Amino acid sequence: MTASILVVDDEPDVAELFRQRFRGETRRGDYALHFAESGEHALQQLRDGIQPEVVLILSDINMPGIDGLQLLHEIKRDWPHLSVMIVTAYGDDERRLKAAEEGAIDFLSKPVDFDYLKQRLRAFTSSLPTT
Amino acid sequence: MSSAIAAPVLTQADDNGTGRAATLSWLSTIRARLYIALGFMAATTVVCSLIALYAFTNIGGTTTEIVSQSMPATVQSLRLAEGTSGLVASAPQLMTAEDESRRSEIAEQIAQQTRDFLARIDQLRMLAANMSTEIRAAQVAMIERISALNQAVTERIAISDRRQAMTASIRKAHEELLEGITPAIDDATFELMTKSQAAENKAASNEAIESLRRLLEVQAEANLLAGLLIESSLVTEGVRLQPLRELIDAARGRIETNLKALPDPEQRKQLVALYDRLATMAGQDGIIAVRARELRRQHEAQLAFAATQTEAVKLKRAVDGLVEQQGRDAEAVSARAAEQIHSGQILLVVLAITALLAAGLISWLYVGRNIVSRLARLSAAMLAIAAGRRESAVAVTGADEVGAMGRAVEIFRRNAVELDQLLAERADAAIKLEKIVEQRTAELQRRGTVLRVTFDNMGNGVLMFDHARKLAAWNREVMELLDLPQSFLAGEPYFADFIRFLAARGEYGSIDVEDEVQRLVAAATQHHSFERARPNGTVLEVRHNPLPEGGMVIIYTNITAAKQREQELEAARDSAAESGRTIEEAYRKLKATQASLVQAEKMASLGQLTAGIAHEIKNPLNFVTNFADISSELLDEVREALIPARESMKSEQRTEVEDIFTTLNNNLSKIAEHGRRADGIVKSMLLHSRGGSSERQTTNINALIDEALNLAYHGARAQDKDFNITLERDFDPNLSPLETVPQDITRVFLNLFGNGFYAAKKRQHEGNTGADYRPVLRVTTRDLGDQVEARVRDNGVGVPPDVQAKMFTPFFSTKPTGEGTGLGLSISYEIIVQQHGGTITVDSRLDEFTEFVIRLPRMSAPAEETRMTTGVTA
Repeated sequence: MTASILVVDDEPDVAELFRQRFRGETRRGDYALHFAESGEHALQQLRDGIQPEVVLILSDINMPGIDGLQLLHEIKRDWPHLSVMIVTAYGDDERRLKAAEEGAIDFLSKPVDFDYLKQRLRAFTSSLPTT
Repeated sequence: MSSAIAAPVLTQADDNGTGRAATLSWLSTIRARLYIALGFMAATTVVCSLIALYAFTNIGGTTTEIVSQSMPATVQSLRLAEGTSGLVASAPQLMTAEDESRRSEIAEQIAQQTRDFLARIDQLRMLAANMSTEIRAAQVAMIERISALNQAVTERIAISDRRQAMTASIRKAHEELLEGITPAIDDATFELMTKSQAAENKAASNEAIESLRRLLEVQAEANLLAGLLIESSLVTEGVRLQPLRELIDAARGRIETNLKALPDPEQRKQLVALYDRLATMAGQDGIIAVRARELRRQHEAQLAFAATQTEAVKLKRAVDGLVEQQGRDAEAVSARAAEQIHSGQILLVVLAITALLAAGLISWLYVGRNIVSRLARLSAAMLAIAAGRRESAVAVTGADEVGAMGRAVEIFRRNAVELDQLLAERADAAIKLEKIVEQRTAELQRRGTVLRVTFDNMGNGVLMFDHARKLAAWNREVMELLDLPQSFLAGEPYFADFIRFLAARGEYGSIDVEDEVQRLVAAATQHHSFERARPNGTVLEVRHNPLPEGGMVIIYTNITAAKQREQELEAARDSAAESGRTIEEAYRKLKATQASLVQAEKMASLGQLTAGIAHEIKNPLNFVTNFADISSELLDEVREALIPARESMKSEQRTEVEDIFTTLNNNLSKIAEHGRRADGIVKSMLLHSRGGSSERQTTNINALIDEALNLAYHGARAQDKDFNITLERDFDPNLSPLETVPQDITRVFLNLFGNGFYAAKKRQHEGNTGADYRPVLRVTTRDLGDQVEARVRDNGVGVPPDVQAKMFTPFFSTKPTGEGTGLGLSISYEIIVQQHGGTITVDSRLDEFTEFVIRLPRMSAPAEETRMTTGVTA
C-alpha cells in the first residue's frame, strides 16, 4: 500500500530534493509525497483533505508565519492520529526537547541523511496497521 | 525720734521771736517734706476711690432697673402673647360646638381667659407706662366679637334642637296617618271583593272602587309629603327651600282634594284629623321656616366668626408689637449698662495713671531731686575721702540736715589733707635710698644670669677641668648628651675618675679601663678630636682643647641627626631605583591585561556571529550534499542505460565516454565530500555557542589530564600507526580538586595535546633534526593555592612570534587546508578565559619547544551567563 507523506518547508528546492531522492519509491508506489511551503499551507491542505490520506508529516522548524513547533502543536491537537517528524538545521537540545514533548516521533538535523530517513520511514510504515 | 529733733528747733525759732521764719525753716526740713508728699498721695488715692465708687453706684442702678423692670415686663408681655393665642384659638372651638353643654363649657373657658388677659394687661401697665391703647381696644373688640359669636351660636343650637324635635313629630304624624289609612284600604278592598261577587250592584261597586283609589292616592301622597318634609329639614342651602315648599303645597293640595272626596264621612273625619297633624309641620311655621331660620343663624355665626378672626389678627399683631418693643427696651437698658461699665473702666484707668504720675512727680521733684541726689553726692564725697581722694570739695549748701552733714564732712576733709602732706614728705626720702641699693643688686644678677644662660643654652656640651684636672664647670647640654647625674658632677670629680665613670657604664665598649684612662690623660695636653658612638645609638664628636693656664675644655657635639640623614639619603637613592622597576612591572601587567580584554571582547562578538551564520549555512549544505549524491546516483543510472549504446561505439569513443563518466562521478563525490567537510566546520563553530547547559563539578585535574592524554595518544596512534612520542607526566600529588566544567576542560587538553603531537610529528618529518631527535610531550600540574596551573610543553617545531599573536583567533590555522578548522585554540581560549575566568598563555622558540600555560582560579566568577547565548536563538 502507498503511504502518503506531507513535507513542510519554506525552501522550494526541498520539494525537488525529496522528489529526486524518493524517485524510485514514488515510482514503485511505496510513498506519495505532498509539499507545503508554510505551516498555514500545510494546515489548509490537511483541512481540505489529501488523497491518499496523509499518515506522516515532515516539517522544518524555522519558517515565516507558523513555525514547525507550533504546526506540530496544532496538528497534534486537531489530528492526534497523525505522526510528525521534525527536520531542521537547528539541532539544539532545547528544540529537540520541545519537539519530543509536543509528540514528534523523530528529530533529524540538516543536512538530511536520506539513508537514515528512508530506514526510519520503512520502520514507520511497517508499523502501520494494514487496512 | 524725729519729733524729738523737731521740738528743739521749734523752741529755738520761738526764742528768736521770728515765728514766720521758724515756720518756713520747719517746712524746709526733710521730715516735713516727706509728710507733705505722702499726704498728697493719700489725698489723690481717696479722690480716685470716691470717683470709682460713684461709677459703680451708677452701674448698680442700671442693673437694678434691668432686674426690677425690664425683665418682668418682658416676661409679662410674653405671657400676654401666650394668652392672646389661647383667646384666638377659642373662637373656632366655639364655632364648632355641637350642643348647648359643650358651648357653655367653651364660653366659660373664654370668660376665664378674658379675665386672665385683663389682669396681665393691668400688670403690664404698671410696669411699662407706654403700654399701647391699641391692645386695649383690640382686646375689647375681640371680647365683643366673641360674645356676638356666642350669641349666634346659642341661637343656632336652640333652633337646631327645635328642628330635630319637629322632624321627630313629622315621622310620628306620618306613621299615625299611615296606620289610619291602611285598615281603611283593607276595608275598601274587602268591600270591593264582596260587592263584585254580587255583580248586579254596579253602582255600589263603582263607589267602592272610587273609595279605594282615593285612599291609595292619599297613602302615596302622604309618603311623598313626609319625604319632602324630612328632606327640607336637611337642606344646607336656603335657595333650595322654595322649590321644596311648592312641591309640599302641591302634595298637600292633592291629599286634601282626595280626603274631601272620600265617600264615608266617618272615615273622612278620622283621616283629616290625622292629616292635619302632619299638615301643621308643613304649614307657615312648619319645618321649612324653622330650617330657614337655622340656616340664617348659621350664616350669622359664620360672619361673627370671621369678625372674630379679623380681630384676633389685630390683637395678635398688637401684642407681638408689645413683645418686640419690650425686647428693644431691654436691649437699650443693657446697652446703657455696658456703656456705663465701659466708661467706668476708662475712668478708673485714667485715675490710676493720674495717681501714678502724681506719685512719680512728687517722688522725683520733691524727694529725689531735693533729698536723695544730695545725699548721694554727700555719700560719694565721703567715700572719695575715705579712699584717699581728698582734693574734691564737699557741697555745703542747704539749710536742712543734709546741708549740716556736708559742712561737718568738709572740715574732716581739710584735716586729712594736711596729714597726708606730712606723711608723703617723710616716705620720699626712704624710697630714694632703697632704689639705689636695688639697682646695684639687679645689675649684678643680670650679668651672672646672661653668662649662665649662654653657657647652658650652647648647642654643644661643655666640660671644663682646672689645672689639677678636677671638674670646674659644666653645662646642661653635657648632662643630657652623656646622661650625667647632677650628683656626680656636683662632687667635682677628677678627669681620670670621669673616664672611669663612663667606662663603667659601658660607654667605650669592652676595653681595658685603666689603659684608656692613661691614653686620654696623656692626650689631654694636646688639641685633638674624634667621633664616638654611644651605646644608645647617639653619635658624638668630641674635641679636647687644652687651656694656657693648665686644665682643659672638652666639647661634645651631637652629630647623630647628620649621620642619619646621610644614611636616609643613601636608602632613598636605593629605593627610588627599586620603585622604578616596580612601576615598569605594573605597567607591563596592565598592558597584558588590556590586550587580553580586547582579545576576549573580539572572541565574544565573533562567537555570536558565527553561531548565527553556522545554522544558516546548514540549509544550503543540505542541498549541496544531497543533490551531489542524487546526481551521482543518476549518473550511474545513465551509465546503466547506455550500456547497449556503448556496444555500438568505437573503442576510443567508448574510452572517452567512460573517462567522462568517471570524472563526473569523481567530481560529484568531491562535491559531497567537501559539503560534509563544511558541515564538520559548522559543527565545530557551533561548539562556540553551546546553550550553557554544562554544569560545574568538582574535578580532579590530574585524573582529567591523564585521561585526556591517553585518549589523545591513542587517537593519534589510530590515525597514524608510525607515530610515537614520549609522554612525561609531572603531576602535583597534593593538588586538591577544583570546580570546573569537566567536558570542556577535557576538550581544551585534547586540543592542546593534539597540537603538541602535530608539532612534534612535523618536526620529525621535516628531517632537519639530528637522528637522535626524540619527540616528547610533557604535562606539569601545580597547586598555586588560589589557582591551579597546568603546563603542556612539546619539543616540536615551535611557533613563530607573528603566529603567536593570532593563534587564538577563530579560523586561524597553520595546518594545510582540510586538516584543521582553525577553531581549536579559539574554543580553548573561550573555555579557559570566559567560562572559567582563567588565563591561557603561550611561550615558544622555533625548533625548540612550545609551552602552553593554563591557570584556573579556584573561586572563579566567569561571565558564564552573559556568554554568547544569543547565537543559538537565530
